[in-house]
Amino acid sequence: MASINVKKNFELTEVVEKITDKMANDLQTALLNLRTKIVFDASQGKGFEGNPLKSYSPSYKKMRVDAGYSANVNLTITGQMLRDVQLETPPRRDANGVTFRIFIANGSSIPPKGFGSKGVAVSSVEKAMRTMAQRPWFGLSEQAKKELLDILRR
Amino acid sequence: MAIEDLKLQKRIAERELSIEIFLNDLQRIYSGSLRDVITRLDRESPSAIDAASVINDIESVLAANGFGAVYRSQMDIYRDELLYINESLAGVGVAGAAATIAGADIPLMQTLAIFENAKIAKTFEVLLGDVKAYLYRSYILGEQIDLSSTVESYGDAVFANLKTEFSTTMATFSRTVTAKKAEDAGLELFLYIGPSDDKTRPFCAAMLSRSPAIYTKAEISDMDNGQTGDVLSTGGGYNCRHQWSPLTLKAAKEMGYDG
Repeated sequence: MASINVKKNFELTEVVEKITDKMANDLQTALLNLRTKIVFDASQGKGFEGNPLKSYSPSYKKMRVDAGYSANVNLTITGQMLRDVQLETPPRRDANGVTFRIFIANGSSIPPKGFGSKGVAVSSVEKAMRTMAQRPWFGLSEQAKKELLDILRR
Repeated sequence: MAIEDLKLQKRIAERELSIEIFLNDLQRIYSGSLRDVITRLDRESPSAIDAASVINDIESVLAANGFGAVYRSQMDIYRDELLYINESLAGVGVAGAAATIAGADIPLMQTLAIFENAKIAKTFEVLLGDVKAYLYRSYILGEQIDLSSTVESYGDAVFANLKTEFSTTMATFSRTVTAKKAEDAGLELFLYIGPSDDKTRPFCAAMLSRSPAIYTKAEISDMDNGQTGDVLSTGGGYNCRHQWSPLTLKAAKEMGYDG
């Protein structure tokens, strides 16, 4: 099982003198764009750094094709996991500062027979954790970090 | 993640919140109860009046087989979760609560509230009415009542519809949340994201045929998927696997949009 370095790909901290309303709006907009990019790339079989995701195993690929699904990696059976990638609004403000966050909401879906865990509904968080172990699709790319820092440093 | 987030996540994760288990249990008990009634008719060959009595008694058979208990137990779980979350909201205050539950089960919470007790109860009320009428009519006419075809005609489709309804409710909620965030940010462009395979319906295939599959909010509001109304919230309709994801004009142009 692959390990995931949480801090490296998931967190970006920057100390600024003040977060203006314009900065906050620009960050939220940038994160909405980022959300779209993460989800679209995943649906096209790409990781968060733009690299191709590992192919499905031959047996799983056959199972997908036999059921009418694409053999190409798209991280989609019901589509709920990718729909549950959400931007937290409003951003969180506390003594530590302001936190802007893209997260995976805990929705769930009922996969068709053969695609679920013992045939029961699976939460999106659980699905995301499982898929991320083999195919890192959710994270903060170096390019995304640069764009966010550019907003904060204007 | 804040401590309150973790507590909520942990609590909700601890529950076996599985709609499928719930519906499968109900379906199993329903099919078994139908079998009991049909078997009794076959074995006892009652008069028409007594047959009516046996058929009308199906609710008692369901109750004896645990239908009510299973139904109530799941609804109790959902209600308890909502109560717990409401208490958390009351304890923290509105502004703090919004942040506290932002990372928690808002989608599941809301979906469960929408996928509600009354809806399931009504569905079963109609189903039982239909199956009773069918059984009585068949018995009076001397027709052989086949269990598996009865279960298929008066059960399987209903349960399949309930599962579809749950999945569609969840998907619609997620799309609605995303659309609201786009509106708050003033974004008018949306990318249609999702698979193109043997299961893709013609409506969705048509949406994906544009390259890039970017549409304005105005274009989307004029669309009609022929099933479920508001396309921004419901996509292609029941069991639709696709979503509308917002983006700025700049990001759209980087994808090749020339709008």
